[in-house]
Amino acid sequence: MAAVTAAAVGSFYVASQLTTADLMFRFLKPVKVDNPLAAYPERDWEKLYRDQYRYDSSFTFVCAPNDTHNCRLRAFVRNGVIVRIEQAYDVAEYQDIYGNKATPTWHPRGCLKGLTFMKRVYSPFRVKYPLVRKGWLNWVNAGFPRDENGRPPKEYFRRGVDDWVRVSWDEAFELVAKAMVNIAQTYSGPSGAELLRRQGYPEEMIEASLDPSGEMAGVRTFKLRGGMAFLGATRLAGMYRFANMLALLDNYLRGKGPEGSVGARTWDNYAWHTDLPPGHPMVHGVQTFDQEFNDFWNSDMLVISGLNLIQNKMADASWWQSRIDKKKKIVVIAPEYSPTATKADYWIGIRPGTDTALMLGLAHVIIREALYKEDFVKKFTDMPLLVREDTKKLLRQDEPHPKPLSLDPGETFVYADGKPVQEMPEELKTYAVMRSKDGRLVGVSRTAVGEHLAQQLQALGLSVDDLELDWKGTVTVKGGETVGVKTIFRLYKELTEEYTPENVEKITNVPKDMLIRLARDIASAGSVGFLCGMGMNMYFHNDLINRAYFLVASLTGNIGKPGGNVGSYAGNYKAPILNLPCYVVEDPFNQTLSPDVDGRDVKKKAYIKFESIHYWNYGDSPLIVNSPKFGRVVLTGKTHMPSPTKLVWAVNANLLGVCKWHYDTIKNVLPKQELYIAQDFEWNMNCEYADVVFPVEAWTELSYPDMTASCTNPFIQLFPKGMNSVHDTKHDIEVYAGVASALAKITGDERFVLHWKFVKEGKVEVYLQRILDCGTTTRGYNIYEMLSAEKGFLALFRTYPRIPGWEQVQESKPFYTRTGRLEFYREEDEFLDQGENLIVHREPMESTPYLPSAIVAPKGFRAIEPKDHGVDWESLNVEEMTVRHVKLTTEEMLKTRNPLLDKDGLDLICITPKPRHRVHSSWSTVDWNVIWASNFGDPYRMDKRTPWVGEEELDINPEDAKERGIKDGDYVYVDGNPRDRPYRGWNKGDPFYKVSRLKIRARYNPSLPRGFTIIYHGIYGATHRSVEAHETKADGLAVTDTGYPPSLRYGSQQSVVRAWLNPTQMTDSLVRKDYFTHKIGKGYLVDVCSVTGAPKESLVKISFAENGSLDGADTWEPAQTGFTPGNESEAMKKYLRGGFIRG
Amino acid sequence: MAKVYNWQIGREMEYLYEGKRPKKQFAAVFDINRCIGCQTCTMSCKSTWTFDKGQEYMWWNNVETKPYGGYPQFWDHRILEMLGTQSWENGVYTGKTIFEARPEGAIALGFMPSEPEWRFPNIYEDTPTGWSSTVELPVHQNWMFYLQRICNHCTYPACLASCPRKAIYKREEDGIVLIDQNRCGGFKKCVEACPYKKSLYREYTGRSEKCIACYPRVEEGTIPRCVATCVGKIRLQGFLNPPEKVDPSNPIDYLVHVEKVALPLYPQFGLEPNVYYIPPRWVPRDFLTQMFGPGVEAAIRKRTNLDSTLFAVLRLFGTTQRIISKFKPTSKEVVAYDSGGNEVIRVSLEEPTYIRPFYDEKYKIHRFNEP
Repeated sequence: MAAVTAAAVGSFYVASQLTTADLMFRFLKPVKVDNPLAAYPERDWEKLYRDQYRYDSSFTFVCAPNDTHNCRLRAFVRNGVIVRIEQAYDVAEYQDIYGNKATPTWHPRGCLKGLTFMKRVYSPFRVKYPLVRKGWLNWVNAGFPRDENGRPPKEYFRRGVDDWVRVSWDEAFELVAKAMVNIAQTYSGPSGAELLRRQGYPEEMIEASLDPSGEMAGVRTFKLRGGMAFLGATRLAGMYRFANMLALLDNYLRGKGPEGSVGARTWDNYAWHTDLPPGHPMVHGVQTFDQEFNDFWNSDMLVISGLNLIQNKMADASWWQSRIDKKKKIVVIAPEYSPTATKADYWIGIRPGTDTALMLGLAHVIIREALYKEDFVKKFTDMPLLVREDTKKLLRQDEPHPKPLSLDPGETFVYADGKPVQEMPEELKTYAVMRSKDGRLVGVSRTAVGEHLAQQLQALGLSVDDLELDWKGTVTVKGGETVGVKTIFRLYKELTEEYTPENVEKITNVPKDMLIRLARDIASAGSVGFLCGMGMNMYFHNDLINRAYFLVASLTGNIGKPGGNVGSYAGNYKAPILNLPCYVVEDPFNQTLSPDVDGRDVKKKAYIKFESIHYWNYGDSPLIVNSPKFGRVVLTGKTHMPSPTKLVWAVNANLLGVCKWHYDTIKNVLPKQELYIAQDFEWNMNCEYADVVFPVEAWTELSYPDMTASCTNPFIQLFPKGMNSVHDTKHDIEVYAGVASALAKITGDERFVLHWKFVKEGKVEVYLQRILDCGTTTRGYNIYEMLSAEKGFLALFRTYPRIPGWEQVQESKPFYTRTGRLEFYREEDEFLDQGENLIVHREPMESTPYLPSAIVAPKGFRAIEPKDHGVDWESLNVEEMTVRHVKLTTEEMLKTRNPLLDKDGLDLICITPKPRHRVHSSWSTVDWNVIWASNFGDPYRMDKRTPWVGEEELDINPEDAKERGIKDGDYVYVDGNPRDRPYRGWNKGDPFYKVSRLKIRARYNPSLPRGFTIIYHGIYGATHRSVEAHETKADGLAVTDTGYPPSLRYGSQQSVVRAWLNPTQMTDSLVRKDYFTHKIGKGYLVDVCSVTGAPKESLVKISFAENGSLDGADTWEPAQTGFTPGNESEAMKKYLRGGFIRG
Repeated sequence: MAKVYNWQIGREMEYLYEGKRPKKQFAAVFDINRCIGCQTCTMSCKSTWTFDKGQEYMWWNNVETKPYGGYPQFWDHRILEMLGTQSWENGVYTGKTIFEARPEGAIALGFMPSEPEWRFPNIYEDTPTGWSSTVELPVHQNWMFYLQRICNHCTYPACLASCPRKAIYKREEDGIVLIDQNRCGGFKKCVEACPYKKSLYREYTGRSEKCIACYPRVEEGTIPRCVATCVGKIRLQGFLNPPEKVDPSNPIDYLVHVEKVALPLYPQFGLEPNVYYIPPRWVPRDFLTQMFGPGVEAAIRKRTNLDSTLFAVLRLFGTTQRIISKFKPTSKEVVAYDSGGNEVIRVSLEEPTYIRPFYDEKYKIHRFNEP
């Protein structure tokens, strides 16, 4: 029995659990326990935990942070507070209007993040009321002063440093409305255009901002972004609806009426995040192919590449892991031995950014060992089509003399009334030519695919078998000339001469035996799912990589069948699942104000114009190269061309926080903007640097219902109304409506208010029902029934699981391309100029030890002949690098060196995968998640250098670290290309340099190959205020008074990356399916045909900054124990080999 | 010290108290092959039980990456080093348990982690033993895996034996081990003695706490939070019978006693822990034997060559929040029942495919896979 001291009694005080009576009771009553294994006499105390578990009520909500799962969760409430969250376990009850049901295999759904969501709801880091930056408020109150070039005085725009002023909602709305009027007015008309010219904007950007009559429209300088709009069909897409409504403002300012007005510019999401795989539309014409996760159940083999499913697709892990249960093969391709690699039958450690070479190596084996599915390739790909050697264009049906046979089944993809589904202008269709083995030329229309091809050939006495696949020869064209032609298949056969397993091993580090084995495994499996991720999509030449995976999948017939397909996985983007246009582009001049109108009958007119944020990121500029040979060359196509940015309003996105190269954006781009509005429920970096911050409701507080759907599962999820808000927040829709009302007051145009009529009336369901009415996947559903059912529903695709390309391969409908086939040859001039008419391996732009962007091709390979701009090999000018095309053999390429190695000593690739503890930067505000997110989580902050309760880390191979004198747990500086990292124009004396130069803890990780480091994406990086906080506070806490808890003291992962624009992704000629319809057009299309940036292009060097131990004098304590990687003691080595058990 | 029979080590051993098995023994099976290290279990436990003052560092459930991770840091490295090299022979543990290796005056071999060692609960997450240009089955050349840990509600708990106030006990009805929050004197002997370090001291109250097997839920027939919440569908909770009373229609008995595909954690410590692991198919067997005993190779062979019954049982994981007492597979599905014999869930062994018509006459709309 221990002695009971006064101190011990004092320490027994419990606030919430035991009462004083219990305390007394404890010491007074004697308790006799004999054998506590057998019996225990006093078990009343057990009510303690039963009491703790009790709850008053529960409600469901949807957690939708863009991971694509949209899990329905149940919040448990006690005394009006959400105390915990659990999964709903209800998916087996989801069904569609035909009675099809989901299964319990989808259970339970909902991950660690959904379960800690209540901590975000009640966190001190919420945005609590509307705020306006003091300097900006002064600028407005001073009457918007400007200099002779239209620029506001700098002293009003000290973003990130100024104080904040709390305002009422009405004040906030008025201020924003006033500023909108002023800014749009300033930049309207010829005078507005002239100001922009004087501010240095290129003429092309001004031209892109003109109205149909050719006059400058100031509202075109507004950039509005519904962040991940698909996640909130009315709440988030409402930002775009507001942008469309701004045509009324333009009308007020310039009086051009409904025909001559324009709306605001609107910003993208999927392409901005570099989630869009730009090579997908280049192959099949649609945004992205991705199987729903339950299709993996059908795969005989999965090739998981550059995709860490374990960390980023958690809710549906069981679908692909079921392959283990079914004895099916899992192959993982990634540079490091990733968590997903642990589940693999075999893992291949590839050099980062070299996937194209690997795929061409597989193609080499598949072609030479005749492992390809000839029938499939002829029926569904462009491989049998003939290409002219002289023009490098496809031979057209009207070129040969005499005329070829013609196969044209007419329209095969038609509606019930006979109208063609795929509306394609005649000039976009390509009537190509194949050859039969008996020498006849066969002309094919784009609908002569699949069974139609077979049937039409049969009518001519031919079969698919009779078509040539691997052939070259000559053709006589009109005029008598003889022209050399080759099938596209033959071109690839010749190209892949260079991509032998031996050469590919040298390029990619993939052992040649593994390569051959992989090729044979893929070819012999019944169905192969190629699951591709952002690990390969975030390089400059991502489109080549995307196309290359399709090449291998198509050669082996793995497209459009159960279990056999190519999928790209990142964020949630498949907006067409919900037919948003009837809400977003409702005609503001012609509003449909009756609640009973079928969505199809709502009058629509699109006044908005989309563009990619990448141009703003790039310096608010398109790609203009000063080509040594050709002078000023603009490589951003007209349809992509951005307008100048004067106003930004982004909702539901930490735009600046996760913006590539954000310190440059803050320093060099943001000063060009005159109003920057952040709208979110948590304070993040986007708020830190804003002018106006609108606080909104969290997902458990929604005042209005909403809807979302997903690209990885078939569920339509409904957001019900939630609990009362904790703070002075509004629902996002109310914010748009509020600013609109303020604009109504200024302009006198009542239509601003009417545009939000159903919001005001509390009948947002009207908008939701319209969206349901319009969609092929949703028509038949009733919103009121769905909301009251409190569960999800199945989207109405053709198939469950949804299989991309199924209608094409199983029903012989054409692909949404020029030729109606899967395309591996790009004959457009832009591709010919860039040397990418064929899929070819190009070195990364920065993350390479070799010549950046080098093309690997056989010696003297004439089919690839890029335009020579005369750019020097040593040039590190970013624009020039995008048009430097150096064709080398493997041997030659391996002898080159990235100039950054020798000029600046940058010798470590630094990539940024997405972590499991957060979704991008979301959940950086939750202490529990931050504690688990790294090696350095400590709620008690024993090390006062820790910015908050944890800090982020740089993963590095122990040998790389030791070579550089870095111990496990040390702080290091990480420096990228000094020409523009961390921002253009940096110098050591600039206080902002200290804020932006990355200092981070090193963490030994043997899973990484040499020369390769990892920093996880979406870190809350340092800001002006966070640096001031930790440098001035006694305890070194970096949390700002604005409520921002960074995970780093200095810099962020964005300190070492920059913006890039790839010319092949900015063409006006690429043919692709329209976004919400089956029309086929060409050129820019938001989130479909767009530039995508390159966030994994980063070469860095690291240098020692501080010791890791608590006193800063020695090694980080755990690394002194002998149990850590790279520092194993004898005992640890014994542990590793299982030596503590003998026999 | 008394003599008790420990079936996991195949022999009698020393323990402070006379052996007495509960009427039913709370037990769980964790399939390491499916774990994705997401920590959803960790956060669900945290948000239910340990979110209050003094519990900031406390994680009753944790998932650590082996071989370098551990919460507290290097907990198993340390106790293995203290215990020294030991042996199994023909399925019998011939080495010393922690009770048999106890120093003078203690009831078990153990150590008290220092305060800093409770920091960094996710230390060396995703950290494997090395890098090679490729790995392949049957054993990856370099490896790592996730080890999920809760209190094992041992048959012979070291915490229970070490408590000087006998304030730790095993519930007769279900074998759940609890620290009486009323009578705990804060001596921390349990913290020192538990080799798994799942007894955690809370300075704010002066008492130690531990995983309570979510008994408020289990009493109602609902599985614990950490089991229900598992996204990877790796966990199943039920009640284990001793080897002489096996019921093959009880999924836990089936996995542990019949198929022997689920093994105890560090059985050599001698506590007869009641959380059982299906070992990861890609990890070197010697390391796994050190951790789960000699049944590892046979268990992996079973797991990677599922027969139809084993496949059916695994299909039940993560489908329902009710405790499954009996399962019954048919050729097309598997049905699960609770302790009252009521059907809890029915899971098909195969997944459906639906094809919807291109044109819906009723709603006058065409359907597309590409909308």
